Amino acid sequence: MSWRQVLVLYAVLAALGAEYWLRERRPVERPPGQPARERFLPPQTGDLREVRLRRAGRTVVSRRDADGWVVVEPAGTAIPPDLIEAFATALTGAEEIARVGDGQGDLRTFGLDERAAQVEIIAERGDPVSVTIGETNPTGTAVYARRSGSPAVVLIGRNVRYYEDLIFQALPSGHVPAADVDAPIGG
Amino acid sequence: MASPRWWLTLAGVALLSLGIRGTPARADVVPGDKINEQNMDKLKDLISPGMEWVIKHGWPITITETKRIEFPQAYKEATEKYSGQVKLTADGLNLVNYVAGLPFPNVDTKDPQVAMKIMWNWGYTHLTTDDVDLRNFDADTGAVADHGPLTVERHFLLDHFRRLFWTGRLYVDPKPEKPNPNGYRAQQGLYPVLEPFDLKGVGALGNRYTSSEKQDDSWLYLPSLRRVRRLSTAQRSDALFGQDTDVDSYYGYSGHPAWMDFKFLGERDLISCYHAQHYPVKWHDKVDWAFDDVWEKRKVYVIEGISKLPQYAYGKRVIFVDKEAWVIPFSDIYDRSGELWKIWINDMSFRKKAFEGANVIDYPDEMGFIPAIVMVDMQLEHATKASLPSHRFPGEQGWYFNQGEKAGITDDWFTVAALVNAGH
Repeated sequence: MSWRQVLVLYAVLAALGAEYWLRERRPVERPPGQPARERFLPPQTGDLREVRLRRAGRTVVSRRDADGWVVVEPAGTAIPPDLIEAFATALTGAEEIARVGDGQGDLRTFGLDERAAQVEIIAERGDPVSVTIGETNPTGTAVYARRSGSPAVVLIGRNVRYYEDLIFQALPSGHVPAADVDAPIGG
Repeated sequence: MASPRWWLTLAGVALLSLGIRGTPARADVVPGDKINEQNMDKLKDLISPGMEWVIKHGWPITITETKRIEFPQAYKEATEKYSGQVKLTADGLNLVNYVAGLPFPNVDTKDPQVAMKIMWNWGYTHLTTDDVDLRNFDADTGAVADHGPLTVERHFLLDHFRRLFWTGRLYVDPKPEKPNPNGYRAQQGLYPVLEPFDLKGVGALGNRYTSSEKQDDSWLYLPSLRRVRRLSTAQRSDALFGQDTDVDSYYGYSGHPAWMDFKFLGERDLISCYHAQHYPVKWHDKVDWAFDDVWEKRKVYVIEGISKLPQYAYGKRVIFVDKEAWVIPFSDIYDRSGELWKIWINDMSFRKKAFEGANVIDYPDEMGFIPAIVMVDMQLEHATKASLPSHRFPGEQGWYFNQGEKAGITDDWFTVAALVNAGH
């Protein structure tokens, strides 16, 4: 093989390498756990200390102590700590499914008026963040929401609203059980 | 002029009415109620977001009386005999000293391990203790119309879905455990597919182990490629063959209790279809992806499950577990953004025999027949409905419980060789 042929081979190899490097190389994959979409809330809200939830004149305040979440208002309310944790995790981990408004229009359209739920989350670091949760979207899979410091109306997962519902349903309100509470479990 | 006593009475009535108004009224239903999109406010505290979606799209709900669901006698006796010795490991991932019956009949909601104990109870529920053979069932999959029918894209006909449990056995010898050097909890097979033509012979097989350290063995046989593919545990959440269903969603949740981080979200009342009157299933005339049967109010535990597997398709499941029957009426599934994605709905009918007739097996206890399931993808407005058994086989009982070899439940059937052989 002559030196010219060797040069040509090297040139072809270099061209193929450049082609691979510039065009064929696979994009860097997203690390596990990193959201595909923008996060709804800033990341410093990860270590939460307190969650205040207000809807239809009722307020639930929960604080995290060494053993987990404790409901401090209404006092003595038996809401499972896991439910507060699940709600807080769902909200702080929520992603912006879509931006549907810039806050200039009629917020009532999105249920972001006096009917909305107000959530204040207080983290170990950073300022408290307020979130307004409005109505579900027409397809029933997400809810409209806004956070303090941003006029944008965004869609976040319906899961947040469901856990909010479960929290308010756990409050005492003369609930009639489906069957005899004292009946033995398992026939 | 009115007397002071009259004014006191009036004041009392006024105060009482204020008190009543001050408490938000709970939505509620009574037997005989027929619920649809117009009056679904009556149900709003008794359903999940997934059920709300299907009712808004035309699923009819008829309310009936709540009936007790008794454990089968042998299961009840085993629970009484063995449950006292059952323990959960500190990490909640393995049962210790389990023999048979319900592991934890007395659930304390303040127990730090309550979520895991509920899911272990579900994993060892009485629906199938020894074996089950589901025969001659079909499924349709396609787009669903709002208040309208399903546009069938694919029709499936399947020969068998079989499960063989190696532990916790109560009826078929050997019991309570088969000689078990592999440490199986159960084996499961779904094969062969008979229709559609291009999937004829396809099938799936899997082994579940009692130890949480071992992942399932799962195989898929594709006759067109003459290949047996091994599936990972995470792939159990993948919808196969254009259907909306995935193996991990069978029965409402079919994964190992140890594969998810479970949270206990509370207790609530919920409607469930446990005493379906129609067998085989009756699909609604107009909204034909909805089974048209009766629902009753039940008390359930609410559990959130988030998979520990990074490749798992779903962000989380919200699973409802019946407090008395230890079965799942339906479960909602969310994607990783928390957006509502799917719902699995069971049409269940606790009864002693599939239907009246000669040669129909008459069980000593009410068994958990499931004449239909529906899985809806709300984001795609797409659904898969299965008739268990198919209407194409009149007289087919569909479900055969604890029949052992009489129903073709043999160790050999749960081998890859048998899977491949049936696909030829």
